[in-house]
Amino acid sequence: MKRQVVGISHVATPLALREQASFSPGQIDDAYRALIAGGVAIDMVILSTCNRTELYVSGAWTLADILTFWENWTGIERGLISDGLYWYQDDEAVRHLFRVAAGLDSMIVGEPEILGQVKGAYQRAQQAEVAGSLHRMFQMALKVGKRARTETLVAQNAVSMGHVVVELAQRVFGALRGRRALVVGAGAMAELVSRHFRASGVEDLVIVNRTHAHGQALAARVGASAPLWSDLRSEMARADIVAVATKSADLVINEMLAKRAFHDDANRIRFLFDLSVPRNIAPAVAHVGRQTFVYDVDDVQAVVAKNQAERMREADAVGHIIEEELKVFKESMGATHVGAVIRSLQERAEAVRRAELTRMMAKLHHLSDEDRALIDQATRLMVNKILNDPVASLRRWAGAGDQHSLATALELFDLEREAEKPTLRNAQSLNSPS
Amino acid sequence: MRALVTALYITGALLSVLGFYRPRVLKWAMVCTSAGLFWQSAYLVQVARSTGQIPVTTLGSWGSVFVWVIVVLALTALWVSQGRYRAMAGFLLPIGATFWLVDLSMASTGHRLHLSGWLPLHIGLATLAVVGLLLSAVMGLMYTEKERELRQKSVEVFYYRLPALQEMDRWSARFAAFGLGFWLLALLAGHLAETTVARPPFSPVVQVWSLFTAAMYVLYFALRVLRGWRGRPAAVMVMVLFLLVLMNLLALTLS
Repeated sequence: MKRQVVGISHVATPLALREQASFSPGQIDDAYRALIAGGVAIDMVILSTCNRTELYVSGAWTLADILTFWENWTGIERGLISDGLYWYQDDEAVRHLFRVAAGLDSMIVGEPEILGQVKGAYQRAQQAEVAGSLHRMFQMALKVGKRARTETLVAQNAVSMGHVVVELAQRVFGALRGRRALVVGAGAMAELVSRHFRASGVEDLVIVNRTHAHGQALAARVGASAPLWSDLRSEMARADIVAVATKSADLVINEMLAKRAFHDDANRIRFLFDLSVPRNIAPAVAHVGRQTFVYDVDDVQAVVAKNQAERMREADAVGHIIEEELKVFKESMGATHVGAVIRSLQERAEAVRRAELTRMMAKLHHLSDEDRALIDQATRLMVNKILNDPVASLRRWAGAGDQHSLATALELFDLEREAEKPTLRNAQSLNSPS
Repeated sequence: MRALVTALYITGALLSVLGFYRPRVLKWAMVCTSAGLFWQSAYLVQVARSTGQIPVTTLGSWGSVFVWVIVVLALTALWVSQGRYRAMAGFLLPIGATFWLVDLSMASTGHRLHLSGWLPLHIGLATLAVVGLLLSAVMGLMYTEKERELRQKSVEVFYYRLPALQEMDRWSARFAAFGLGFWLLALLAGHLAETTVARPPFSPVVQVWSLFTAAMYVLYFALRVLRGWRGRPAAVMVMVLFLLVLMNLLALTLS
């Protein structure tokens, strides 16, 4: 029974099409209910986020069946998404899910949200009782996602402006709890940075804005104090971190102001971020005081780019984890399947032996009970010995992951692989919205 | 045996530096250095058994013990420390390997001391003092490297691998305080050792230089407390001051 994934993602499909092709949570629940009600012998997990929509399917459906299902539920025409569509089967499908869970397939490599989204998608399918034989695959994917983030640096280092500002401050001051941060401005960037400071433990946050009312409003939203614009110099003197994000066309902090503000404690470490375009902090401020760092937008962006490159370097290590876990997955699936195959083979042989023995005993009614017991034992031993070599071979193939030989054996003995059977449901196929 | 230790320590040191770029090789740095430590320990035990004394009676043998302590500290940083303090090993192991090579070249120099009275205590305290002051200088070196990257706005390995600047500044001062404390106690024990033996073990040059070194560290703390010296000036100062400590060892060699 093959596993397959059909999907589109941010890599090759534009947002407008991704929007049309996505499933809302309600649609997913309805689609699962329809699968259950229709009794379709298919296991499915739908992963639909802003960056991707993927249908993981285990069962006898073809690509055309899956696309029809997708079209019927979202209304998207397959021709529209065909350019960016991908379709992976068996090992490639598992590897793809592992990559997605590890964040390697994300727009920002290593981003943490996707792991929660994979988990959510799986839990939703499980609650609807349609995950079935995909259970193990998703459990392993969640494990891969966790390993990637704990054993490698793929999720380390900030990759957004706001995060990098906080990260830079942490690389200088360590924990920001107890530090004093001053944010100059009350616009969107000022609010973003203020929220990041708050989230990273800055307790003493001050907002200074030319229009005091706007500063007060932002301060109220983020839990900061909002002194007057005229207090800027004294607030600069007290702050460890200063972030300036205004729309002013002129300098807000010039060399003279910085000299007056930092005069009393020239040895103190201070980090100034100029997040404004045009710049609001004079470059010469970096030379005021022995321990003053000034980073403008380009400097922060350079750190963002460097952090992204660092994450990409970790992708190789994550790739090793994925291959390791893929091997474990294949081995565990092989062991599961071969157990069922061997049981099936033994049951079939035992059924033949019993049928023949019963037929023979009906003709040999003059035999004593002891003779009957001897014949019963001899035939059982005979069957066991005949099956011994094939069973050993099946176990060996499973251990080596030799799916081809296993498939040949199944064909040869006409056996069903119980472990791979998708969840059986009662009625006929229902491949459309109810 | 010493050639084997040399090979293992140099390999461990190179791998620990490579670990800044590829953190996964640090486990191999640990393996090589641990093996080197094992064989060096065996070597020290062998020397102790053959001489019947703790191997600190010449500057060369003391150097060997000092390297042993540095390597133990570096391995502790690798094994125990989580995150950015592991990078300290990338500084300590090359320094340890360098000391080891220098020590090999001067193994037979310096007169042999007779361990009696206050002298063993003096040597023990002095060892702790030099270790503390070395760690302070290493923290200073780490600080200046990371600060250089941040100032040049070109974040590379030290930005990612080393602790926060202020943490390193604090630890540098703590190690210096630890080292200075033991240095002063070692001076006292050394003075007592001088007065209780027939043949004084230390020359006046060594004694004066030791006092001068202590005075310079006191000056460092005075500048920190009174003038607010932090960060780069303080980091550079502890590195320069450690050169005074090395000069002290050189004076011992020449005495």
